[in-house]
Amino acid sequence: MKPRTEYAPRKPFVRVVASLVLGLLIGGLFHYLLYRFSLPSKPFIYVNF
Amino acid sequence: MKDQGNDLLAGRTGEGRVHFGWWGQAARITETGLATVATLPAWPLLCGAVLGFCLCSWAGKIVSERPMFERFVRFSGPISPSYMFYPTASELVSYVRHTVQRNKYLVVVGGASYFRGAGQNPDELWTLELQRLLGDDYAVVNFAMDQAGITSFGAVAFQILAPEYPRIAYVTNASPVVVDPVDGGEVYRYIFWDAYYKGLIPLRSPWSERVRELAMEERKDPSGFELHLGKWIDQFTHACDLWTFIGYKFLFTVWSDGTPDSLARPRGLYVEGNDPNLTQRQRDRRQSREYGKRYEELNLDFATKGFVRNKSAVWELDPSAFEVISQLSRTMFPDDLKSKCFLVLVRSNPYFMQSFTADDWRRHEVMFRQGQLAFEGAGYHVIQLPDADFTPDDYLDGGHFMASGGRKVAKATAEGIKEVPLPDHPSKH
Repeated sequence: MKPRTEYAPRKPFVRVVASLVLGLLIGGLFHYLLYRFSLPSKPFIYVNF
Repeated sequence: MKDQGNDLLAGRTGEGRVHFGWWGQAARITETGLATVATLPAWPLLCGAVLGFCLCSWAGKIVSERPMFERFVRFSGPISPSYMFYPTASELVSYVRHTVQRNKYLVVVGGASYFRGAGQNPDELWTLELQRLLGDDYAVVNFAMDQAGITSFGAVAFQILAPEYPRIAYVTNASPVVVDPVDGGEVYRYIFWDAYYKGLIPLRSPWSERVRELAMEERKDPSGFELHLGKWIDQFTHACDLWTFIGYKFLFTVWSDGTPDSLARPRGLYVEGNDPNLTQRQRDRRQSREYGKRYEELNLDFATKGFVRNKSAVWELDPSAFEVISQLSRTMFPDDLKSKCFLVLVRSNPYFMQSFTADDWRRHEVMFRQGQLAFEGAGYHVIQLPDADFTPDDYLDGGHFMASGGRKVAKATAEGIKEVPLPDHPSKH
């Protein structure tokens, strides 16, 4: 029998759900990064004459 | 002697890594987390990532059609690009669609800080006076933004909303010798291309050809290419719509020097208060020699625009300059919208024109008249704000209006709008 690693959850279903949830977070993070990349690196400074 | 840093660096043994202290704890937790992730199945992770991205894009599309702004009066610091808050075109027009009925005469105010009301408190804003003068049949929305040009920001909302509101006007401050590019220029062009790639702006020929030419020109530049690529992608992902909405309603996630003590505070919670020191600021400006000198010089230089010196070193009108102004201004808006644009030619505070000679004043007046003819020749309505109607006390500084000046601007603008005959039939929507 193949020994189970120390960190692996015991139930396969939990692992699938955990993987899915982590994937959702990564997808959301990637989406957020697109927003951040659209912002200028230097803020617009309003010059009041 | 062996310190902790060395321990961490040299901690690998035959049985694994050796950790000490807090760093060791953190490293152990990280290692445990990574090992756990490594045992997770790959396909659900990949599916989750795609699903998460698509869900966010869908959410962005949904929120872009909802009114984001609450208690909106005008754009102020925390809800403006100078504080790293970049409203999208959808968010501007959604606000109008949900607050202004289609049978109203919609007046979209654009332009720069002059029309944002930089010298006026929110409750004495000139656009409130304009609304009062025009009456309930009209709905005035102030989308002016600091340093925005004629075609910037509010102008984009106007172009999108024009097909939906048969009775619509766009009011903006303008200079008799300045014409802006189609997309509004460097700072605010993001909102034009946001609308363009999302298909929100009706593209009418021949104006649309100029827009495509400009897009091609801008894409040759690295920063322009980045902007266009980003906005092209955003038409599918709606990332800017979603995260700006979240930043306004729930949690703001971008550092801004203007809000160092409340970084994550939703921008919608900021309510602009009254500034009780406007009169003091007005005094400070007048007492500042440096400011006065600089503004006098600016005004003197401005009074030479559109003129050339003849052989006797006397300033003469250069008719070709205003012909160029007229020609260039034809590309600012599609032909069918020009007659709905009211360009209000704002003038400087006479307090900072004390060194003007009679000839300077004459040129100054001629310039504004020629500018009017140039813009009218291109199809726009022009509203003048004659020098005689304004006193130094109507200004906060060199050009921004105090409440009293704002009321005069509102009166002239209301009269200008009402002079133009209304379309026969209100909207059937």
